[in-house]
Amino acid sequence: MTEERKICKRCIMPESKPDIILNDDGICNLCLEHDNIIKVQYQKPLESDLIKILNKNKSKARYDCMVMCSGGKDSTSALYYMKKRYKLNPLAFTFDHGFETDEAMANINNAVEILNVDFLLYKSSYMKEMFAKIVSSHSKAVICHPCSIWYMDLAFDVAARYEIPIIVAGWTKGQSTKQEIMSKCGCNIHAVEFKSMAENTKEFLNNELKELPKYKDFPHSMEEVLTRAKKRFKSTVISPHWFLPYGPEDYIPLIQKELKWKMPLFSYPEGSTNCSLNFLSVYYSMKYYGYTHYHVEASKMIREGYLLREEALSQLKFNFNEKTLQEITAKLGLEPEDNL
Amino acid sequence: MKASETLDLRGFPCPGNLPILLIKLETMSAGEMLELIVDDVVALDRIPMALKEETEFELVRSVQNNSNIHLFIKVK
Repeated sequence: MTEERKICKRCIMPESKPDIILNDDGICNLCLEHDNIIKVQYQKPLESDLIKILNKNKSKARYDCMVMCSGGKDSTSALYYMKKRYKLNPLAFTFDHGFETDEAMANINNAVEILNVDFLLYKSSYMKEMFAKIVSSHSKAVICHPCSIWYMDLAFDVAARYEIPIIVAGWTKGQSTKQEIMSKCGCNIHAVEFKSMAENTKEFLNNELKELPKYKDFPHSMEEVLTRAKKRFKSTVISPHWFLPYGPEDYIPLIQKELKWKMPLFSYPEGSTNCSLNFLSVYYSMKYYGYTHYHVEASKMIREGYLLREEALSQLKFNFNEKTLQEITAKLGLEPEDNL
Repeated sequence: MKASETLDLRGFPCPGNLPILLIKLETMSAGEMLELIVDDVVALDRIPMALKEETEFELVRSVQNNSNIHLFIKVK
């Protein structure tokens, strides 16, 4: 699946000219840029900041916050923290575009039942045609990007309906540190490592999507989602993981014990709880760019000192095969032999 | 113009300064004013635009003093 590429000796980003370039020592431009930025000290967000934000918005509506639950360790622990640690009344919210796994749904059902919180599941096949179009048109758009635009728009819409002031995501430090976290989704599409991916996604949304009239009102960027959200109702997006000093090694045992949470047996990256369509998204990202957004996130965490390079390389080993990709392609209503 | 709090993000360029600013603003109460000090000239356009398009925070005044940019932002 992967062409051999030179990989940065400090993080795990492969060389991908012109955006990612390794110097003579084998270090990428992102790591070198980070060396300059890290010299500036600033106060990292503390739990006391999170408590201030939560208290400021507490008891303003029927629900104090809405937690976006994927069934993964990060969002499940976020739900746990909101209910148990901060004594809030959260609404758990999950979307299913038809590719959520049984393991993820079982984790969500266990968590909401044990925590006794209200739960809203939004299941829709609305995005299926768009996903199929990305694949069949051989667009280099990253499947996860329009999906994140869709689910964030949906999350803001649901929060607006219940006038919920805080949307809680399970984004981790690698998905957020030094990004436009409070206003944007986990990925900063303006960052150099996302530049080519973002341009191709934009090209798809602006041009090829016109062929599918049902998406005429679909937002074309996260900025458009945020502008629309602001007109409906102002909700702030935060993740407790930006503020708390704990990592997965702390909260996985906690949710396993308290919420019967189980690690999915088969997901990419290893230890994650991503939808099955993610396998196809990863396959195409590797094919077109030589890396995925998981490589970007892991590299950020390595630079920030939250993850060891060896751990990242182990987590990002490919654990799926062509049969998996064929099954997902067929589920999109496409012929695997024409699209893989 | 009296600010309730000051956030000094000199040496910290866009876009990395934006999330730190937004977290700070979210911790403040309605009516309070934050003085943000930055030295990345890109911030002069980028931060006011992000505040206007995507948040409820109001940029009341901006002052450029040599290489330092002071932005006074009100929490509504």
